[in-house]
Amino acid sequence: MKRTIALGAALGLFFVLPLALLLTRAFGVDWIAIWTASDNLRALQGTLITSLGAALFALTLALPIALLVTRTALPGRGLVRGLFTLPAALPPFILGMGWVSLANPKAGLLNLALGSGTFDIYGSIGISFVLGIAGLPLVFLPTVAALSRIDSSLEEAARISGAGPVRTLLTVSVPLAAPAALSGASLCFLFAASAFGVPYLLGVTATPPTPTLTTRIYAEILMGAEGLSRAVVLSLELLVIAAIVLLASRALSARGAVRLASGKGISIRPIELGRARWPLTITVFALAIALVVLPLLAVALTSVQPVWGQLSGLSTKHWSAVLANPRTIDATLRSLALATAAATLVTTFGLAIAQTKKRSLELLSTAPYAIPGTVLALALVVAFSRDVRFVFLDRIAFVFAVANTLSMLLIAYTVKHLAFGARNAADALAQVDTSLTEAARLSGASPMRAFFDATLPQLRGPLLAAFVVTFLTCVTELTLSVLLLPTGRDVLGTLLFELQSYADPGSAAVIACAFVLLVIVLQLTQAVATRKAAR
Amino acid sequence: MASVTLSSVHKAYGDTKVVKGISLELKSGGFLALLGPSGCGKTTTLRMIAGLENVDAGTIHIDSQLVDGPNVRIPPEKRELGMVFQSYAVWPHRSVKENVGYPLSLRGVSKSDIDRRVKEALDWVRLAAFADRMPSQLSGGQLQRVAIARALVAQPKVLLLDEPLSNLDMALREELRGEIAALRARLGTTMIFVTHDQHEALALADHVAVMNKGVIEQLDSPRTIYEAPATPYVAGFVGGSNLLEGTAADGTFTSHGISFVLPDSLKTVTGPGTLAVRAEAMALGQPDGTPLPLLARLFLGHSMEFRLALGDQILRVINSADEAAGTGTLTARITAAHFFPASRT
Ligand SMILES: Nc1ncnc2c1ncn2[C@@H]1O[C@H](COP(=O)(O)OP(=O)(O)OP(=O)(O)O)[C@@H](O)[C@H]1O
Ligand SMILES: [Mg+2]
Repeated sequence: MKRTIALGAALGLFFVLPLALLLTRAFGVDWIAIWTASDNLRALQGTLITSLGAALFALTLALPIALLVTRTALPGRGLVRGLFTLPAALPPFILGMGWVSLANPKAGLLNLALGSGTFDIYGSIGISFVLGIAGLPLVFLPTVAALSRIDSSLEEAARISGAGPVRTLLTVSVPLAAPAALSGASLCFLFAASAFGVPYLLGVTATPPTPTLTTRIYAEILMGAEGLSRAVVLSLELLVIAAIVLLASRALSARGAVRLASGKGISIRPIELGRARWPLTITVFALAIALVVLPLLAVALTSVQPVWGQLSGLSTKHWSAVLANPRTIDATLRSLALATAAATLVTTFGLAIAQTKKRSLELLSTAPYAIPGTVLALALVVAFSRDVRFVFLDRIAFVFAVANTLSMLLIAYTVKHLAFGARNAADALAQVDTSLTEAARLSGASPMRAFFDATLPQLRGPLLAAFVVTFLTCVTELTLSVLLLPTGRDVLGTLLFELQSYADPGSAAVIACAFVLLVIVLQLTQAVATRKAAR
Repeated sequence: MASVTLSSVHKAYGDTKVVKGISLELKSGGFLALLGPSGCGKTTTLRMIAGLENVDAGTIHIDSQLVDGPNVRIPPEKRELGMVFQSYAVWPHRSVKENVGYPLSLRGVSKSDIDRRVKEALDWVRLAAFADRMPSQLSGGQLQRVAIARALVAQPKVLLLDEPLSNLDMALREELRGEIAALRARLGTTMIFVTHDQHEALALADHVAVMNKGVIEQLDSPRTIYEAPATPYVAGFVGGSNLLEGTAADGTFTSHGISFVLPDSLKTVTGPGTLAVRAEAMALGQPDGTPLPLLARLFLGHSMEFRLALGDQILRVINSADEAAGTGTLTARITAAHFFPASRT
């Protein structure tokens, strides 16, 4: 109980209070005027169009591919599944950089190959496209999960009734997975509406510029005190959109849950593709390579191009420059330290929250993840822009001096990603075999001892997964970092942002490459570790 | 209504041969049960008839049409069959009415005809009042009735049923068994019914094919299967007989070094073979019986089951009398049996 109160208080201080203060900031401001200012209306339009575009693009791509990998005997379907899940492990900004390298109207590799101006990645279509790819796993994974819970006899009953394979998929499999797919698509919409890095990269310098709410909020914050209240009102607008979309997604996935059985005893006999087999396989692999692998290769190529936009030999000059630059080393060390600390905090607090088994606390801990990063950062700025004093009994005083410090960023990282820890720990705890812990107790272990000896070993895999995913997300986190980092200090995210936006795509590509390598190494290590644990 | 003919049908999954040369002929309007233990290939055989699997060798005809064979693969949707699955396979996103109407809508039947025929089919399975319910609001027995109505609504050439009752509890199973029999009498549809439950097979079908490891051991009427099993396997599976390996000579049968007096009908058999003795076909406590150690005594309600040791084998004897008296050993006399001479291969 004491623990529940302490955890609740911490979440209250670092999440609920800042959001509440953000709300109070909006009092007395003429929001109608701000919401309807023409710049802001265009930003709202930009947000809605790019988010809808991203969600629709992800849905149209994810649904057929999910059908192919779950319901049919597509050759290499395991690999296809992995390739389309890959964007989940990559920062959207790096995908965006990849597409800039490919489809910048003048300097992009595709345009160099096919003639200048063939593709233009800037503007709302480009933003939708890149965010659609980055958000694809949000649609793809739940759709695959829903489709995997359909017993083949449901499809076979349709075949016997007289429906051909295509009609069977359309009238049985798709409707059954539709709630999950639509709920995923609305999450993708939310993801795109919250995104900051990609719209900034591809929208601000587009002709004409394509503003979104997040980039408007950033611009207002840069203006200082006067812009802050406008930023607050705009972030509330974003929050309203997020709330609506989240409710829609919840309602949809609840509807789907009624329809699909639990996974037990499901048997799936993959549908043979017949003559369509090879054309479909080639199409799917070509898509996966074009959408996900190609931009990463483009980033790699950019990192060894001596002059951006010219195919004139290869050179390691960016690599040596970046690796020797004290700023890079400084930022890397800082990012690694922050990410390690955040991942540790997320995992420990997530486990503590899950152990209280308090539904309300769990919900509260997952809420920050749904709040757009810009809004969360702004709320923290508003709450802690001055040192906060707590005085108890006139004597004991706490001073929170977190404004403009790295601790503020650490708090932001932790609060934002607490969901990873809490979710994973709750799922893992639900599957823990309590009889093992009870056996330890009966053998004479204290509750604490039994937890460490019997329960914790069973949680290791999921907790490690939470740690790794938090670590990877934080190492190149962009939105919170750009808004909260004290001036004069860098983390990898801000460095990437600055290099790519202003001067030096080659150097940015080096950092991006290093990060992608880190992702691959960590994911592989984790996969190996979990496999070992499972054995 | 149509006839179904299989000629030496083979099927393997990878290296495991699942169906090894099955031939059978079912006349139009007939009711065939495929009976056998788990894994013997019943479902696979049924799925090949449905077109959900294709034969590796052999042919399948429905009426005179070749539906599966070398170079011919008619897909399931073109075979005009109905099928009921063990897992119901009622579409959870469609109402009862829409589930049952689906096969008709695919055949381009007009809206009003669909309504009429769906109502009729729901009447057959006594579900007319549930037409607008969603499947999540139905019990298992009702779901299986929906599946039966859906399989029958378009007047299939053959109705295939794969253990349709095995997910239901005892009482419902008997109720639905009766309904299937009644529907069949009423509609006269050709039916093939897969089950591992011998009572179900014997009660419902007019032909029973007993399957073992991918082959049909015996295909006969239920009475013949029960009264004149063709192989020790059929006797063991259908009658629940004790199978004794041994030698017959001079009116006795010796197994594990212990001799039994043979019943009058078998006095003349001689030589090595298998004696199949039903659990009910042994009299206990008779003076001319063979004394055997008693291992256990189980009360079954209407009767008692005794477990007797015959060497390393256990004999099951079911007897209505309560032979509580005997402890340690009981004498057993065989009252009826089948003798299968050992084949000389
Ligand atoms: N798709 C498949 N791939 C590989 N092996 C299979 C496949 N389907 C069935 N088998 C194997 O073929 C054998 C026969 O299966 P089948 O389903 O026909 O048995 P069954 O008689 O219906 O048994 P049950 O009573 O358990 O349903 C089994 O050993 C099974 O494991
Ligand atoms: Mg079966």
